[in-house]
Amino acid sequence: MFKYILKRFLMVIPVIIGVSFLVYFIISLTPGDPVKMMLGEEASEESIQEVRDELGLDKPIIVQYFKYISKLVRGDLGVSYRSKRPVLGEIVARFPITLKLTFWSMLVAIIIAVPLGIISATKQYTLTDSICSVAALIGAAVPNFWYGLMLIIWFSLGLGWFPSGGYEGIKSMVLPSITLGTTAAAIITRMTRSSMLEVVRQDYIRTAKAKGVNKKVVIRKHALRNALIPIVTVVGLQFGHMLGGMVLTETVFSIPGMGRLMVDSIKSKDTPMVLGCIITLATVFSLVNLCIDILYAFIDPRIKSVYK
Amino acid sequence: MKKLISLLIVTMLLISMFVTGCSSGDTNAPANNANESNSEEKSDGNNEGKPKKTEIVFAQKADIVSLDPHATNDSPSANLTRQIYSSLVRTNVNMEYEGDLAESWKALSPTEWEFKLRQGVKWHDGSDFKASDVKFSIERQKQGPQVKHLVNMITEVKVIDDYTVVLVTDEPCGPLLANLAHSASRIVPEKACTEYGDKFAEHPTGTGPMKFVEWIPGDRVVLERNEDYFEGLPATERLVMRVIPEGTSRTIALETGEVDLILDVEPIDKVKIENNPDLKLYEEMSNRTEWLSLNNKKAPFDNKLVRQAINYAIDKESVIEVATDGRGMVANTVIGPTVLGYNPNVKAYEYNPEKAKQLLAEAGFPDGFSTTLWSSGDVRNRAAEVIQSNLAEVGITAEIELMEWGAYLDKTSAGEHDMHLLGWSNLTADGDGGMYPNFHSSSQGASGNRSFFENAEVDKLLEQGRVETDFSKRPKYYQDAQDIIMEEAAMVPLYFQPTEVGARADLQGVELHPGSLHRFHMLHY
Amino acid sequence: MESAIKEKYMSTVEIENLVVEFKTDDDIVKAVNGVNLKVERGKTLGLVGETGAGKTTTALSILRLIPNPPGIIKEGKITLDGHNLFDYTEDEMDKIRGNKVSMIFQDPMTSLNPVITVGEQIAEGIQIHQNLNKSEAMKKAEEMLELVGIQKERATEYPHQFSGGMKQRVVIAIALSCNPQLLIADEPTTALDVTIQAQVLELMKNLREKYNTSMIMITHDLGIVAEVCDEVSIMYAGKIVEHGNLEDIFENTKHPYTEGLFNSLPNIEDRKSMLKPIKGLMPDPTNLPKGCAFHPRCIYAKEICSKREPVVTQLSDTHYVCCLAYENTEVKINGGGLIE
Repeated sequence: MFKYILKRFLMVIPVIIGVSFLVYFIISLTPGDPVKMMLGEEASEESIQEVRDELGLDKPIIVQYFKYISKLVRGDLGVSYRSKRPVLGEIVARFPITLKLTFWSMLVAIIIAVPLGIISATKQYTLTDSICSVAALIGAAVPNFWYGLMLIIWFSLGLGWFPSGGYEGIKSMVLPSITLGTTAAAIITRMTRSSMLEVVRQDYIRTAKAKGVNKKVVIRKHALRNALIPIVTVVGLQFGHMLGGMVLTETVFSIPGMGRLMVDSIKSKDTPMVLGCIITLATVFSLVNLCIDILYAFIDPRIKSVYK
Repeated sequence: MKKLISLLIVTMLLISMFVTGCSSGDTNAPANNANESNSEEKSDGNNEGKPKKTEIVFAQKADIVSLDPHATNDSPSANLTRQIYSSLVRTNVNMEYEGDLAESWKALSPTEWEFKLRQGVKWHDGSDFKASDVKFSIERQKQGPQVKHLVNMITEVKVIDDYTVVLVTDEPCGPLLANLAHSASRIVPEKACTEYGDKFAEHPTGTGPMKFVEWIPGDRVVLERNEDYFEGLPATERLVMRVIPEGTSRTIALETGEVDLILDVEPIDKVKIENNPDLKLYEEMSNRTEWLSLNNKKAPFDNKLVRQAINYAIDKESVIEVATDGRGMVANTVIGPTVLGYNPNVKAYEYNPEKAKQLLAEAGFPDGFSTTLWSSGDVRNRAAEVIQSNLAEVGITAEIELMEWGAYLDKTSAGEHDMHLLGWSNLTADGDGGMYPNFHSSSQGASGNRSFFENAEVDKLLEQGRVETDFSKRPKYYQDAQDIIMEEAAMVPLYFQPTEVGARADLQGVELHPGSLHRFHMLHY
Repeated sequence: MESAIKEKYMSTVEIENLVVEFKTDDDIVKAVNGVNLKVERGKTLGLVGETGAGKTTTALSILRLIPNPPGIIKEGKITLDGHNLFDYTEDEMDKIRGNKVSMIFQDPMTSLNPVITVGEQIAEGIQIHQNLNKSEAMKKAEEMLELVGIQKERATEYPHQFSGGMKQRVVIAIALSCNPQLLIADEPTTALDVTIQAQVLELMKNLREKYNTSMIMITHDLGIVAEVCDEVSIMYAGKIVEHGNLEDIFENTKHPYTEGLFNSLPNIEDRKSMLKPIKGLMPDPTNLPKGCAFHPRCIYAKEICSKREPVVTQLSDTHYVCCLAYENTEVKINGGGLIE
């Protein structure tokens, strides 16, 4: 098991290399000159050329890429074209915010979705099930940013319970977490429901009931744990999805997270910053996947034997 | 044993995520508790018997790039550096030049200007402001690629004594004062800059009314008042800039009272603010012109008759109505009424589709022709649609192509377009700043002349305007240049844009500057 | 004395006129159509029939484990020790399940929960019904494992670490852990290979003797019936068509269906003779034939068989049959019993 974990840790390295390579080249292919955008409309041609030389932007792409990689292996993520500040510093300032928001949103999602999915599955064909299913469908279909704006209008402008944006204290995390959480919850509910339905039909559930085990305990102890594998998978995927797609929520709620940082960097073709952000995301996502895979082993002993 | 280690690693991973997730919020909390309590006080909207709010919050749509005035030339940063630093001279709300750090100035010769500096001014770190700081700042500004074009013509700064400097230019420079009044031409302290070197941006030290407290990237900048400000105690005790990228969210934050003032008001929210008794919309004509640029080097736009026809074909009133909700002034020329050199009497192109068709026929296009119209951004996209239908009426089929901003700048600089929509903010309010980059043949391409207009006479006039230091004589050059430009119909000026600010109705001290160079140190309740 | 004798011969469980239906969107599946069964203390009843006859449904009804929806128990009474099980609440039934009545299911591969250790699964029932704490229950569970021939050290292992035969032993251990009065075994050896089959049957017989458990053995294998059962009920299309002790059924076969079952067995002595299967298929339970449900496949069927349903004809104290041939009608059957 230990060797397995170590192996997975090491696998993050080729992921980073592959991702950085891809991204570097894609950015170089997009139109737009970061220097022109940086210097603004009023700058002269010579100024533009001067800065380009300084940043080494006229060298061949391959040369630039290798220079980047050689700095990367030493832990140097370079300096942002736009702000001239070290990329690592900016990411360290903003990534934890995105992470925190993702974490709370995921919590909201799981707290809503898992019980709802279980209720939906155990009360299949009843009105409760239909209501939950429709709610889940709406939650998945409604666009995130519209929903966020609506929450702001009702709870911030209307009732004044929460701030309409910004990042100060736990109150400002509530509305964005609910926005993201309910959307993710919709998807997790559906998965919980279908997974539970499948499990509940299994023979061993019948065995448990035939033993005289109380219905609630059957659901909680016997059924849920078996249903967890697909649910945990979806939770992991949603986590990654959220991390990457955070920018809309961060924009609507003016949260200074890494989502906005990444999109702004892409718009201004700030290559070092884009790469820094994406490498961070890729690494975190790989680690999250690793945690999920390890979690599988603890949920299902059959999987644990495979890892050994 | 191995199982234990694996379990430990997983637990540590999860805990570390949990901990970074939870703890990073707390580091922000103490700094913002004051802000929070102030906002809560404000939101019930009732002013009587309440402690007056001393922290003023304003919101803009983008974060600053840097607080080093010589490191960047973007307006979000300029909005902040304007409060922290001073220049030699500045323009007031009537677009008149007044001294900032300079008490008085005079021209010793066409290429030499003497500035007498204020005495007793202190830097934010307590040291004294001296002439050597001016010399240092200008030389430093010449090193910054974004900002050096403003002071490149200054070959030497002579320090006569601690409070007198003489600026020597290579040629007589008409727009010198305008350039010195530009947002980027700030005076920085020699001592602090040398001490901090590259890290000066993290310790911004100026002579302005507000002092730097902190910057949380992506979120806010906090300033507090400079008790020793040489113009008197600023009314604003504490000034916070908050970044709110989404337009609707900005307006909502103003409505809830979380912010006291917003810049960059969304067109659809302007009516909302006007109709809300707790809020007030301040609107003033600005120095910005929006136009439709024609590629003078590409057929059929190389034909003057075609260009003139297009000028007649466009219904500027409709464009304003649709693009900006009616907020704008029809532009008959390329620089606005607040800019030095504005010519109110250029050849007018009223909305006349019949005349347009006539001219097109004369030019050899009786049935019109097909072309493309490029645009970027919501407001311009709406304008593009109106223009497209205007042109269709006279037989010109224009296909609209929407582009992302970076690519847009790139391609229009390269001259790949037929027609495109763009604008120009005249920060210096000087004809030179508004016309040289856009119409001089040497500025073709990225420097600004994206119409690729080339006219020897205009070139000469602009060059003359640049070296003429007598302010009474300068306007004529630019007015003459505009006559030619409009006769040649180099492009289609559409409208002059207002600058606006939304604020709480009871906020005092709001003064708009036509160049959008607003100062916020006199805001209070 | 008298009450003791009475108690000895009192039935453990008695099923009276059980009718179970499954309602789907389009049809009603008539799974069990008036079944009467009786199992005496310490005795084993074999419930024989083909797949789809309604045997499992009958068994599940005793434990009230019929999924609802879509299953409904329409009529009937099931008494356990004199109490009607249908009167109990769900909580009371929970006290009976795994405790007074236990069930072993057909497929051991899927009957055990893959994520819980074998020991825990056995201990669970013990904990619930015998009010012991966790470690005490686990000790008992380990004893049960030893009883079924598995080393007690394996209690911390998971089901996927056991072979099919051993899994079934675990299932048996679970079923017998609380010393039930009635054990229902639903084709317990069908999924196992023959050698293991013999072991498991032997185990069950020993335990039954040790604890004097009553048993219902559901099977379609007549060989198992011969080995393990005291009485046999033959079930077809949701009804009991013949019932008797071993001698009655094996030597005095009366019902044409039973006869057909015996004829379907290959003749070990005459390898070359052809198999004689019963022609046709089990009837569609949503659309049972009119009259006697077996008549479309019966070689002796007459017109009356399609018109009238047969009733119970008692042939002796122990033997009864449901066939119009024995109701003094014109239906005649030549002989009974095996065709040589």
